[in-house]
Amino acid sequence: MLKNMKIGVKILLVVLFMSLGTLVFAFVNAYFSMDRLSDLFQRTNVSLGLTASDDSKEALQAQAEEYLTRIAGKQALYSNQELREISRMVTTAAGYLEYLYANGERFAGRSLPLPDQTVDGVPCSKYTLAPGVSRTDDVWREVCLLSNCEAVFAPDLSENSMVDNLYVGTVSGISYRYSRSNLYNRSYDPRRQDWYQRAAAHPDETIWLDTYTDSFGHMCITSARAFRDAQGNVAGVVASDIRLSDMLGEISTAKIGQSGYAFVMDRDRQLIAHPDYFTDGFQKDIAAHVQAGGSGLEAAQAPDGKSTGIVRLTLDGVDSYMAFSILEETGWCLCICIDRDEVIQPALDTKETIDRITDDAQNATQAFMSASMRQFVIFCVAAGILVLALSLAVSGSITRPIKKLSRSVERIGKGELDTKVAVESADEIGSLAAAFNHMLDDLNAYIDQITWITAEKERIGAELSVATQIQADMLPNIFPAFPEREEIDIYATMTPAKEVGGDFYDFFMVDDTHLAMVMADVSGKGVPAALFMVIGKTLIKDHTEPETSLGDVFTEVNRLLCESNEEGLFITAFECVLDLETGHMVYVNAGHEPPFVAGSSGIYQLYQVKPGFVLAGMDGVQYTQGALELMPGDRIFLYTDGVTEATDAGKELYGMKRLEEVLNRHAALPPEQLLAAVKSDIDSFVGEAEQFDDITMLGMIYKKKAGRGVKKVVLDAKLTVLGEVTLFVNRFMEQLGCDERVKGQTDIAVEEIFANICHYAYPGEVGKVTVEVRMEDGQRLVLTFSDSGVRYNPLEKPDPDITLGAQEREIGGLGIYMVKNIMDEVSYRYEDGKNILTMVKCI
Amino acid sequence: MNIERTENGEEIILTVEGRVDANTSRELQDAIIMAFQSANKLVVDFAKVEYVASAGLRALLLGQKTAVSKAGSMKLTHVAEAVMEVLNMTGFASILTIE
Repeated sequence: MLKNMKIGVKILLVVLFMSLGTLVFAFVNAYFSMDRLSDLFQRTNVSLGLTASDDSKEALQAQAEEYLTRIAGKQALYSNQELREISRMVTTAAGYLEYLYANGERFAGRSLPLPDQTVDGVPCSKYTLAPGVSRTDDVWREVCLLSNCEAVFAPDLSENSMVDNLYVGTVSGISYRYSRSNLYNRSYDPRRQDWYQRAAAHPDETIWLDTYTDSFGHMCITSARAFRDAQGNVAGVVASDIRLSDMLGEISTAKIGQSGYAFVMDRDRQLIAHPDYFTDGFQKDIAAHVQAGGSGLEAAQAPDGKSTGIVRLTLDGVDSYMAFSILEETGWCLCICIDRDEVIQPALDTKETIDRITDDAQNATQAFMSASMRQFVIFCVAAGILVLALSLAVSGSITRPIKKLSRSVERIGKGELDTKVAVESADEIGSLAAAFNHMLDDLNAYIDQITWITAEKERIGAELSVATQIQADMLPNIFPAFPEREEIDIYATMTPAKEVGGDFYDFFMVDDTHLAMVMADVSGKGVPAALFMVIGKTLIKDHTEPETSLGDVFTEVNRLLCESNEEGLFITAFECVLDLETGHMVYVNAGHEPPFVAGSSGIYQLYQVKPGFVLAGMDGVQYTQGALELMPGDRIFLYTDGVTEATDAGKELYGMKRLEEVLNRHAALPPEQLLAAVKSDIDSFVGEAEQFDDITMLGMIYKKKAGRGVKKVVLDAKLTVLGEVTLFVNRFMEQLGCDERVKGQTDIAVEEIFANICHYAYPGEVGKVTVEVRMEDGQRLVLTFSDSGVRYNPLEKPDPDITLGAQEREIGGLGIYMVKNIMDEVSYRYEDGKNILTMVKCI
Repeated sequence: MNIERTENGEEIILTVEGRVDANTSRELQDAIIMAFQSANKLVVDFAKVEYVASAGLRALLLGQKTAVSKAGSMKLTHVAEAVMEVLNMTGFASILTIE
C-alpha cells in the first residue's frame, strides 16, 4: 500500500507521523507519568493515613494500656495498703487482747451497755451475749475486761474511715463491739459465725474472709484473728469489717473516661465489686461477662504469678482493654476496663482527616490532569493543522518538479523527443532533470545514428533480398520444368544458409534432344559468392553447346573465370548432358561430389567419376569428359556438400551413408517427393542446430527415350509468338529439305490454325498450345495443334462463297477455307479435354 | 512488314515489304483506310510481299470495299506467284484489281 502512494502523500505521512507522533508520545508519557504520580500520591496518602492512624492507634493503645495498667496498679497498691492496714490493726488488736487476757487482774474495766442502750451513729463499745449464755460473774468480769479494748479500738476507728467497727467474739459467747451502729441481733452467737470459726481454726494468723453483704446491704469484707489466754488456749477472735466501697474508694463507682469502669473479683473469680453489682440479675461469675474469644481471659481468670497486666477481651459485648492487678493481701484481682473504640477513636479521627485530605488532593490532581488533556488536544489539533500545512508546502515543493519531470518524460515516451525538461531547481531533482536533458540529447543523437544505420541496413537488406530473389529467379524454379517432355521428370531445390547462397543448380535443353544438368558450389558465402556463382552459371550455360565436348566447356569456363578472379574464389561443379533419344550421358567434374545413380537395379549408388580440379582454382587446367549410358527408368541425384556436411547439435555430419540410405528408402518416389524426403530427413537429423551451408539437390528420372523425328513445342496461345510457331515448323521442314512453296503454304495453314486458337480457345486468358510436327512414311508432314481451351471444331464452319463480288463478300471464314485448300488432310478430334487438330501435307 | 507511302498526283502508292500475317495485317489495313481519306486512287505494290494470310486478305477486302464506296480504285501491283496463288484460291483474284 505504501508503494502505491504518491511521494507527496508519503512525505506528508512521514512528517505528520514524526511530529504528531512525537507530540503524542510526549503527551502520553507525561500523562502517564502524571497519572502514576497521582496514583503514587494517592497510595502514599492512603498508606500515610493508615500508618498515621495505625501509629496513633498503637500509640493511643499503648498509652491507654500503660495508663490503665498504672491506674489498676495504683489502685491495687492503694487497696492493698488499706487492707494491710486493716490486717495490722486486727493483729494489733489481737495482741492487745492477749495482753489483756494475760494480765486481767491488772485491768478493772467498766461495765458496758447493751446496743440498744447506746446512741446510734456515735462510736461506742457495746456487748451482747449469745443465746444460752447467762450473765455470770466470770462472764461479766470478762465483759469488763473487754471494755478495755475501747482504748485501742477507738483511735483505730476514728483514724480509719474505712473501719466501721471492731468486734470480738469469745469462747464464752460474749460479743463485744466498738461501732457507730447500735443495731443488733438478739440471736447472734459469735462462735457460730464464719469469721470466728475460720480464725479460730488458724490461730496466730490474720485471715481475710470472703465478701459479704452486711445487714445494711453494704458489701463488706472481714479480717479476723484469734487470740489466746494466759494459758495459751484460744480465748476468742477479734475481727473488723470494712465496707468495700470505702476500701475501693471512688474507683469502684467512678467512670474512667467515657466508658471506663473498675471492678474486683476474688480468688474464686467471683465479682465482688462492680458498678452494676446491685442491679437485678447481676451475674457474679466473671465467666458470664466474658464472651467467647476474649483473648487474655485465661490471664484474667488465672492471674497467678502475674501481679499486674493488661489484656484485650470482649466484655459484656464490648471490645475492651482490661487492666488488672492482684492484691497481695487478699489475692483479689482489681480490674479496670475501657472500650477499645474509645481508646482508638482519636486514631480513627486522624485517619479520617488524612483520608479526606488525600481525597481532596486526588481530586485536585484529576482535575488538573483532565485540564492538561483538554489543553493537549487543543494543542495537538493546532499543531496538526500547522504541520499539515507545512508538510503540504514541503511535499509540494518536492513533488511538483517530479510531476513536471514525469509529464515531460511521458511526452518523450509518446515520441516528442525534442521536449525539454523544464525543472530548474538546484536540488537533486534539478540535477536529475539536467541529466535527463543531457540523456535526451544523447538519445536524439543516438537515434539519429541508429536511424541512419537502420536505414543503411534496411537498404542493404532490401538489396540483399532483391539479390536473393534475383538469384532464386536465375535458377530454373518453375516445375514441371518440361511439361511437354514425357521422357524426363526433373526437380531441384536450393535452401540457402544465408540470404544469398553460393550454391547453384541449373538444367536446360541444349537442343531439342539434349538435357544439360549442372550442380555447383562456390567457395564462400554471401554476396561475393553469389556474384561469382552468377558468372559461373552464365559461363557454363553459354558454353554448353550440342557439338562441344563438356571437357572443353569446363576448360574454357575455367580459363574465363581465372581471368577475373581477384577474390580468389573457386567453384566445384558437375555437369552432365543427357541425350534423350539414346540415353547416352556425358559428364565433366570439377572437384564436385560424385552423383548418385540408380540403374536397372533401382538402387541409388555413388557413381565414381574422376574428380578434376575446381573451376577458377588454377589457370590452364584441362578437363576431360566421361560418359555413361542411361536406360529408361534410370535415375540420377546431384547434390552439394551442404547435404552431406549438414551438422547436428553434436557436430556430427549427415554423411554419405545416411544420404544413400534415405535415397534408397524413397527410391521409387518422383524427384519432387524424393528431394522433400531427403530434406526432411536432413532437417530431423540437424534438429535445432544452425544451417551452415546451402543445401542444394537435383533429382532426375529418365522415363523413356524420345521418339526420333518428332518435334514438339508448347507455347502461349497469343499472336505475338506466331513467329516462333512458324520458325519451329519451318526448321523441321528445312531439315527435311522442303521447297519454298510448300513451306509458304504450310506457314499459312499453321498461322490460320494458331490464330484461330489464339482468338477462340481461351477467352479472356492466355492458355497453352502444343504444336507437334513429324514425318510419316517419309512424305507425309503431320502437324498437330492441341489446346485445353473451349471445345470448338473449326472445320464445321461452312466455306465462304468465293464467287461473290467484293461488296457481297464477308470478312472471316477465309482462314479455315484456305487451310482446307492448302493441306491434304485436315481433321479434328476432342480428346482428354483437349481440342486436337491434325493436318497432313504431302511432300 | 514495312509500308512505304508515296504520292503520285491524285494517286497514292503503298509499297509493302515483308509478310502480311495476323500480326501485321492491321497495319496494312490502317494504311489503306488512311490513304483513301486523302485520295481516291490507291496503288498497293506487293512486289516485295512473299506471304499473305487470311488476315491480310481481310485488309485488302476492306480496302476494295472502301474504294467501291468512294467510287475510287485500289490497284494491286507486282503480285508474287505465291501470293497470287492465295488470291486465286480464295477468289480474291476476281474481286481485286490486279495488274
